[in-house]
Amino acid sequence: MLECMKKGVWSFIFILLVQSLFANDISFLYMAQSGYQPLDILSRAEAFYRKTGIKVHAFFPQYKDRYGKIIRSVKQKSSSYDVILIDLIWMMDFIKNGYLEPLPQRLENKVETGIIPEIYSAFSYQHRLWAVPFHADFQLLYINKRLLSEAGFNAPPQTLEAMVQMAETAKKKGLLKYPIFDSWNKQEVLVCEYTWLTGAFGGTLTDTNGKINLETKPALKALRFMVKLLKEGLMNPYALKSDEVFSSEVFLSGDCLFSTNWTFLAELARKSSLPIKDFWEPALIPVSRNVSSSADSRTASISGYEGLGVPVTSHDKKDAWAFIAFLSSPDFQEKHLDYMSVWKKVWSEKNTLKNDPYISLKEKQIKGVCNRPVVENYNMVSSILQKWLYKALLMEIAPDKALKKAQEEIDEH
Amino acid sequence: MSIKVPLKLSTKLLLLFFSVIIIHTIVSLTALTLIISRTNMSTRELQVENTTTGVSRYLGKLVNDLQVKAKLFSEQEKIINYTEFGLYNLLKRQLDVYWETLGIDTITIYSNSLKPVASIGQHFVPDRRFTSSLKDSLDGKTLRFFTMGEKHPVIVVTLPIRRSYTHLGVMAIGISIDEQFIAGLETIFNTKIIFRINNTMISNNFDPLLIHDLMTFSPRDQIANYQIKRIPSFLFYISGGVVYCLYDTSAMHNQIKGYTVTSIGISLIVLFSALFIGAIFYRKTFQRPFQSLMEGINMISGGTILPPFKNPGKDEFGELASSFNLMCNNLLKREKEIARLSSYNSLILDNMKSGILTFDLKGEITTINPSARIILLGPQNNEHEDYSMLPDYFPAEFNALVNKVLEGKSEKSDGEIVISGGKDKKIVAYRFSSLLSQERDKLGLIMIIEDVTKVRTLEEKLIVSSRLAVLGEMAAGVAHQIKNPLAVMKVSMQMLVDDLAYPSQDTEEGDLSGFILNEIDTLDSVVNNFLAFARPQRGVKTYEEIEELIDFSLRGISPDKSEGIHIVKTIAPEADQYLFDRNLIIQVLSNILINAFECSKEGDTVYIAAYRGGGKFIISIKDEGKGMSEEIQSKIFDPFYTTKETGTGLGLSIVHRIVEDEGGTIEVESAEGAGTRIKLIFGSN
Repeated sequence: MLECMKKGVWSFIFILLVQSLFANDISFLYMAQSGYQPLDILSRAEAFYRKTGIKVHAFFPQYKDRYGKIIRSVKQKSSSYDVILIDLIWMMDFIKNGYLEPLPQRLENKVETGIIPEIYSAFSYQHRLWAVPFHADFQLLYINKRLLSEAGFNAPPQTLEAMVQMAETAKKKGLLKYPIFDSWNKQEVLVCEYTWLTGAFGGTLTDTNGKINLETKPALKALRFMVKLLKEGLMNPYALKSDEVFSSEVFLSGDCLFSTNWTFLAELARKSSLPIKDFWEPALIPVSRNVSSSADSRTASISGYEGLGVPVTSHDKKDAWAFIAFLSSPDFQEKHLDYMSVWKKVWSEKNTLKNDPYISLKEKQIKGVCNRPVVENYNMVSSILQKWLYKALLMEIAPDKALKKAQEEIDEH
Repeated sequence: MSIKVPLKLSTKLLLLFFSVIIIHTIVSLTALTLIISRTNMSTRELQVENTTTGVSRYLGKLVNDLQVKAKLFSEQEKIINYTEFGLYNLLKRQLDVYWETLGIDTITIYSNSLKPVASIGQHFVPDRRFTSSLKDSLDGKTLRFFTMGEKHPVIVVTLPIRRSYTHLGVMAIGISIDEQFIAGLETIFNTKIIFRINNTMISNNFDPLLIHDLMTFSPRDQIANYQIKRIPSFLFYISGGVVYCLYDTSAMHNQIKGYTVTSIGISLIVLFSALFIGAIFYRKTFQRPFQSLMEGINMISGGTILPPFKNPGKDEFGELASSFNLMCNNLLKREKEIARLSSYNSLILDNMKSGILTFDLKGEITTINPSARIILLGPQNNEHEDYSMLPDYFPAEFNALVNKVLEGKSEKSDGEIVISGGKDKKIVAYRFSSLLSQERDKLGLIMIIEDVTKVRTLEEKLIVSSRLAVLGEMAAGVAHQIKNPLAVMKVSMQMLVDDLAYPSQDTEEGDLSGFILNEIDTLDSVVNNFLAFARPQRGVKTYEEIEELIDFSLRGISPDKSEGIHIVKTIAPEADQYLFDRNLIIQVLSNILINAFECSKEGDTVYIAAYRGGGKFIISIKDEGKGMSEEIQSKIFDPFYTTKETGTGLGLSIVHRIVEDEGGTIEVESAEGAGTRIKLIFGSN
């Protein structure tokens, strides 16, 4: 108890010091992981300072630490951050708990006119936008064209079934021991994979009320599909231990025929010095044959959006929104085309088309993205899902039972 | 023809010293060369053994390391995962990382179907043995052996890749035995190394002919210049090969040669330095002292006895030099003593009036004192002449006598001999005695001589004087007895004449009476002379003018005696006066002058001289008459001896008597036909 009090006192003193130090400045909690890199951010902050005289102090914690920092900061009532980078999955939690300020109307209008709804709607709740989309990441299907060709195919699979057939062929030909590789470790990415697969089988993980519903046919198909790939030796079992980064390395090494991964892999493959540079190809992630029959659902993916928001505890919200508008503006994202811009206008820019030959593919893919459940206690939901999905993939439990167990557990919470 | 030159002791010592050094150097060199050779050989053998062991251990360690690396490598989670999950490209990328990190030449991972799924470096040749080894390793064995790669032979370790007890594949990890590897080994161990693997010889550019020899012939220890050591690969726990270590012995031999040359060079330097130092040492310590010693000895042998060493050292030479100095000092003292004694003896000899001569048995004179020289050779003899050759220097009579005595022909050991040397005759008394050594051995003769000429002359004069004295006494007695009768006879005869009136002499009676009177006067004159001779009428001595005396004497002589004869007077200024009894000296001068005139013929010259010399006052009267024989000379002072028809024969006797009474002497120098010189010699007055 005494220890907690001491920590509280020291935290209070620290916050006071930060506030006194940054009286005319704003603080920005970013991250040191994917997306725009810290140097890009610092450069933009410097430009903002030159333009407005407002100094931005940026912080770059790891992704895994970011949620906790935001929560602790906001719960202090006097936030040490004026601008925060928010993962889409935390949105509902933050909104429901009143941690976030809604966007000013003018900025909201700008977002709604400049960004496609498939992106900004992820940050919308109760007809208000709570963050400005900043990272528009999603997954694509990555194909080793040489292996595909050696397997006897020359076009990406249009359906999941076709993809499985191609993989089976490649395996049979001894091209690979395991033709497909993905990141199915027991992390958030497993939920992402399962989310888009559920979408690929024509479903979602929530019902129309936004409540988690795992006991649906698409959800069950999706999990059975995953288990089937493992059982048939099409999916590399090592995927169960792999995250997206390792998965990207496997693809870049040429050790798989198919792999789904975030857009960064496209950039890595393009700039790779490995042989894959010359025989890789991004493609739309196929959906099940039955689902793909409808024109609107020929592809499925998973969103990995992140937005810039202002916590209610910010001491200078006006300057915070001004910095968000400046940082997220199309002219900044035009200069960093390694990452998918959220702005529609950037997609059609000449420079963009020149630097990113797959922009049109991405445009199509982004329209087929599925969002993970936007629920208040998402982390808990995700954690339960990870556990039961993983058990099913390890074949410790049947898919249907796993989903039932997960549903029950979620419901209990 | 060889000439033997006697070597000096110092030269012998020097030669001995040099010989010792040279022999020592040769022995040392030989020993050194042997030692160097043996040491080099031993060192080389040790080096060879060490190197061989080193190579074996190195390869053993290499293989062990390789096995450790292979084990670590095979147990890498990623390796296991990638192998298990067929991520072979990733596996290969991973191999790349490890390959570079671990410095391994070849890695190949085989699937559990023994299919190579990832490989770095050269591929292994899948021969029967290799495949068999892979199978064994898949069963869990770790094997290491030589095998063939597609480019080079390889030391390979095969072991299973497994997860728990599930064997997922096999890892073959190897090090290529290529030129670079061998070159590295050769650099480390400084020897030539050849691997023999499956009958393939691998070397780093080694001579193919020698390799052929190595392969063809039975195992040998030496091929060409190379000593060979064979290391079977089982020594480093690997099968299937042999490693040959070839040690280039030519380098060793060159090294030995180099060492030998160097040692010879150093030894020669040491030798010459030793010789140089030895020579200096010898010169300073031995030769110089020895030379000084020799010089000292030579000096002493040359007659100069002085301590030759001023600062003798403290070594043996110094002690010798000190002893030598002491000896010299003693010799010097003795020499001084001898000199003193010799000088004393010489003084004795020199001051002896008697002449002393010594002769050796050969008759050569060994000693002669000044008196002997004067007696035998006269006062003008050279003291420094060598008188050993008797005939050349000494009078014949003397030589004859000495020879006679030496030859034993004379039994007389003493006597007198008359030696005629020019105008002079000497009567020399002699006495021989034997010169004996302390051992009574006869060494020669001692001869003592003495000039007895004066003694004999004096003896003769004494006899004459004695005889004259006797004659004088007798004559005076007779004259006294005769003079009175003569006076009576003359008076009687005078009265008779007067009585008989023999007025003229024209009568026979007158003539006869005149004869008688004349004869009585003659007798009276003779008697007077007798008396004058016997009892000279001495008066008072006064200083007389010599010239006046001579003139007076001349005036007293009948002019007819000196007619036609020249008279030359020479009176020295210092001899113008002398203390004489005037009447007596006039009587002396008159007698001598009358004799001189009488024996001179017309036209001759009589020389009269007065002078002083040798502390004497001398009056010399010399004529140019017929001279006298020696016999006559020996009698001229005898009374009544005359060669004239008239005369009493007492003139010179009276002269002799007067001069002797005056303390003087008369010397007569005369030779027949050469005139006569009479010297009246008086004291200095």
